[in-house]
Amino acid sequence: MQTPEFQGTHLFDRLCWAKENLEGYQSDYRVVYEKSVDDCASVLIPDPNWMACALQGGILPPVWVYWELAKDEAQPDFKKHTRGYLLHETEPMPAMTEEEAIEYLIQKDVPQHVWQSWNEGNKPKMVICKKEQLPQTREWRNAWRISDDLELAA
Amino acid sequence: MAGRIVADTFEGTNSTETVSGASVTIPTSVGSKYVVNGTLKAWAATINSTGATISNSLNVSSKTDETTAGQYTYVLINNAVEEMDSSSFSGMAAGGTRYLRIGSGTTTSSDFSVRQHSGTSNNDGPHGWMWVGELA
Repeated sequence: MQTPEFQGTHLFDRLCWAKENLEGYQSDYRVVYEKSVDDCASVLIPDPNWMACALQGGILPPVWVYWELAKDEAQPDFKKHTRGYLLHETEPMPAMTEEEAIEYLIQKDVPQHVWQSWNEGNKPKMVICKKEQLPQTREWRNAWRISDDLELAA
Repeated sequence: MAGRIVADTFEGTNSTETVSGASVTIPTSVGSKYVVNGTLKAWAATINSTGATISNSLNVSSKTDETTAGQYTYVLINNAVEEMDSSSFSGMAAGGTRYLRIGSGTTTSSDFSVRQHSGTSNNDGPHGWMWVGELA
């Protein structure tokens, strides 16, 4: 299905179009990360409807738009967003592969201090894996950590 | 987009009901601002027993299974115009005595944290929520 020309269309309207016209896609990818050395692992799960939008292309804004809004929100006198137009008027992202979509999602939804220095320190603080690689039960969930013996893919 | 309706008010035919013997007119007009501001802008549900998936949603990019059981963070695709807890949430958790609450103090215009409880303890499990507010 061809995506309509959406630049200038409110992002929420695009999401409603996607909801009506695209089938959700449940990704098997998970992003495991540790916010600090004292925290156990968080596991990010992509939304199936968001993933459908990413694979389709022409719907989602570039990730830098979210960074700009986050900068505005970090200002001490922030009350309301005044640059929401960036979400709606910036040229949308083209179709992504599932792997590219995960990279985009990391930069959007994982704390920046984690993904910007994911491989600094004694061990990685973030890994992308398949859901089958996670523990199969949630026993000791509060003790989940990224393994010290992790072998990184080249 | 295929079509566009521009209107400040939607108006239908008024109806009449009898209340305690008196005839009462039920207005059926509503301003478009009521419709826009009263419409759900985001929702998500999971039917998985661990709660660690998203079954269906609108305006959600991801969910994070956080550090303790029954603790999840959701992120919006289209940000709210202000912090999400400036407007209203509703949510339900499956199972006896279970309930959802917002993790206070951690809400932004794009993400919020959900805690699922059973009594005083945290629990994983199916749940759903919806949010009504103004979008950026």
